[in-house]
Amino acid sequence: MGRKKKKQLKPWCWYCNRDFDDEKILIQHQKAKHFKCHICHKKLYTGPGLAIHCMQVHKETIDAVPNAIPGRTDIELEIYGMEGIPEKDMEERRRLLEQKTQAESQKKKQQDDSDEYEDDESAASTSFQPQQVQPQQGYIPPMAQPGLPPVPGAPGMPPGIPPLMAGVPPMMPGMPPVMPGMPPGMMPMGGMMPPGPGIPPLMPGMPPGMPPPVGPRPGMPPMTQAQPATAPGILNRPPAPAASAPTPQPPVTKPLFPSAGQAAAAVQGPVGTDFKPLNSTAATTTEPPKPTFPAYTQSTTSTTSTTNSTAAKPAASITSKPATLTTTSATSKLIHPDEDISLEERRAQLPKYQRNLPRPGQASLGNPPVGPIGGMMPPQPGIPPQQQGMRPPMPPHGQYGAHHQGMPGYLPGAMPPYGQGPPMVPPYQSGPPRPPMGMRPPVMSQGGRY
Amino acid sequence: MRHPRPAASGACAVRRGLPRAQRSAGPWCGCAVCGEPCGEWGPGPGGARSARAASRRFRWAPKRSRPAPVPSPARPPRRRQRGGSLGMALPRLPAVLASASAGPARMSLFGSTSGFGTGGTSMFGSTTADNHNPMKDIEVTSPPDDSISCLAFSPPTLPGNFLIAGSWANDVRCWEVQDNGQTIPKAQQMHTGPVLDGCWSDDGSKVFTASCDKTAKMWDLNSNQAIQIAQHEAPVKTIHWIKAPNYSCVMTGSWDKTLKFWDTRSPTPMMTLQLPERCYCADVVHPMAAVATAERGLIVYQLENQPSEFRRIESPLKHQHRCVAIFKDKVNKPTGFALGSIEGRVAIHYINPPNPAKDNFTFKCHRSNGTNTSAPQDIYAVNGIAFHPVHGTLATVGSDGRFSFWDKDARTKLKTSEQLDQPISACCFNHNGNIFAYASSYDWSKGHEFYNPQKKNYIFLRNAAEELKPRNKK
Repeated sequence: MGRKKKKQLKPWCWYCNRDFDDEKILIQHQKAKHFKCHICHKKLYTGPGLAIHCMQVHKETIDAVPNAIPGRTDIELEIYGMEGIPEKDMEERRRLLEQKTQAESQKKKQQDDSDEYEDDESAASTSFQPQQVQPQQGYIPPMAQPGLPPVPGAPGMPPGIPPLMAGVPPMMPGMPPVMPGMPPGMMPMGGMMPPGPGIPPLMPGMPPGMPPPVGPRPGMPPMTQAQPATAPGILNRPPAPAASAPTPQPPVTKPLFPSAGQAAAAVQGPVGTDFKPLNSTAATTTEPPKPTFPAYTQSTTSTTSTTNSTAAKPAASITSKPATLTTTSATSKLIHPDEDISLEERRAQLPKYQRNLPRPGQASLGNPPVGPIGGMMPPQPGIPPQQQGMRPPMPPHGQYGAHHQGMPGYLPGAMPPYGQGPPMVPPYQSGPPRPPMGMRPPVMSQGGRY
Repeated sequence: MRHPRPAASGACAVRRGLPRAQRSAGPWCGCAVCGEPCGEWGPGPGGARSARAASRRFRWAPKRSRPAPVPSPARPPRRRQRGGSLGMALPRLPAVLASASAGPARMSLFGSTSGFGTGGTSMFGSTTADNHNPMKDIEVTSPPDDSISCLAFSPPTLPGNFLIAGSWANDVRCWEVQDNGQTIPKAQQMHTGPVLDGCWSDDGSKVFTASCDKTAKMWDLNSNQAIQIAQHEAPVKTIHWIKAPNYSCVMTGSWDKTLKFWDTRSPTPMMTLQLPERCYCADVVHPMAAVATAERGLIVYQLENQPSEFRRIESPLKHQHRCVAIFKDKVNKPTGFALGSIEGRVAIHYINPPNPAKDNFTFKCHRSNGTNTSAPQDIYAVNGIAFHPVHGTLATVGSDGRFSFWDKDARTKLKTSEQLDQPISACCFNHNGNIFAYASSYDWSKGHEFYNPQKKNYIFLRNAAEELKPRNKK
């Protein structure tokens, strides 16, 4: 590269935040994507130029730059290549880049590791299940020995590790899940397996202790960063191997979502052949060799990259509720309310749909559920069980205020809060329901006809 | 027209103030306003010169002929809807629900005011703007008054076709669908909260319904009685009937994070299984059950002997799960499922494929094509997936108001419908795959603001025998 000061290193497009190697390419991109007339495909030079062209030639107004991310669609701003970009956006970009480089270098190492042994997992597991188990089991015996012969042998091990070996045996139940993943990833690290079991117990103290161990061994940092990620997963593991039953394969850790205890739980149980780590899923979706689905165009790449980032967010924000979705990107917009609850949950919260629900105070949490009264006692309409105070679903209208507790809520036949009595075939119940039926009409009429 | 003196920054190398040596590197665009090359190839000041160039150019511009404004697509003349045959040839139902099939009498049963719904014709004159049935499918008479949450056809054990639909109006309705396409409302039941799911028993005599009132009910169609059979601590989202060789029960999934199995004769569940999160959707094809939960949870159960958790699966999708449907292999054994999310994507996932990386895949659907317009692409949720019982092809319906048919083995799309004016919230096939039913009603995808209680909800029936035939693999 010639001059060092290059408008933030690499030229980037203000409209869509993409990076380019060269300004020339950037300009070509802008002309083709943002300054291209959608009617006649003429490529203009600037945004205002495009606006004028459309106005003069096609008599059409255009108010947003095509293919621009929201917030960057101003058609009045004259941006050409890297010129004309407002200073504050430049600042933002610089800041973003810095953040990204930091986060990237951390995450990248982590993900590289996880990619490695996950790929190994899925590749091996599909065809060679028994064999795969054994090499992994092979790692375990050495680990089981508290002495851990490899430890002293490992070059440059932090002195803090051997003392931690005491913590290894308690972690043993969690070992199997870690081990299968660890070895492939760890082998390139020069056989530094021991740090794996040792580090999880060290976890709480790890972050402060990290910098020192990190320093001496450049090979360690990737490992150490992977460890904290796996630790929470490991800590959840001990129940898992006991619970997971039938397959011979040990469950595999998923360091991708370190903070997602629930996501880890979701991975409990044999995951072997269906193991679909996020990254490789993204990879498979972007490389559709055969799938001739017309929906599969190259434009998936931008969408999948955004979805990757959104995937990380829901996992990380599981504890916050409700989590919000990332719903927009440069080229796509999710038609869904922002909160990460289902549409039905959202709708059910409305007072309109809650009016007739049983009062919360009477929720039959402890009570035996109102059983199939009609089924159980054909001769009796089921009033006796209800008089035992099984109120649940009946007190229909909170709005009416009356908790018709004594009322046999079960008019099997229809629960007509709205005065809808069509199939009100009073079956085998003649007597008892009548009185309540008599009480009903005033209530029902208030509810209005259907 | 004279363009004002252009700004200092701009495309034109001259106006950018580049030194002579560098000017040749850039384009010459005399006027940033018009964005056209100024036609001046020599160095020179911008401003007046380019303005003159602009005015010169202006005279050129009209010369370049531009295509006429795009003509609006011609609207097909509005035709009266035909009650086309649905291709069925089954014997009539002799007993249970054959009673009182007089149309008008039953319409008042539902009490709704949709008198003009008969026969599916839309009598209102607004021909051009009315897009509620662009596919000209058969409209079911007396549709529910609020959004439809679920549709289910009767099993093959019942002669004829009966359709049930649960809705947010707290009711579940039942129609008989005749071979000539006529739909006759038969009966309805109420809950005290919106009905979220419904299913039939295997013998077609009972309908199970799940509701926001935290209960599930069993509706005996013979006696037209409904009794409560299940209780949860939060709305019950899914309900399925399980018929195993050694037991039968009802499976309910709820937002209280439990999956309960009920013998309809007992008030306490036969079994309760904990879910990692709220149950959002489920499907049962014996002996397999698939449940998708919030936070992208996905669990498969095996139902032989007694229900037990088989495997928790890492979700192949990156967004909230919305619907799931199990598919079967050539020998009619369940072998995998299709999972739909709110991000216009469906994942086809096999439980034990020979080559997972190649056999499992996802495809995008229910998106507006915003690639070549200035608007970003709109991505809609997949509201329902249904597999054709005979062909094994699948149908998806989305918030965008379209349905699509797909062939998962050939990995191609078979058909996409026109866009309805409301989202399609539910769909199902009848037992022999001749009828495809889909419901057009608001699903809350755009929030409360777009809810119009006056807007009618529809259920459409389409002949599905031909359109879902699989494509020959290439």
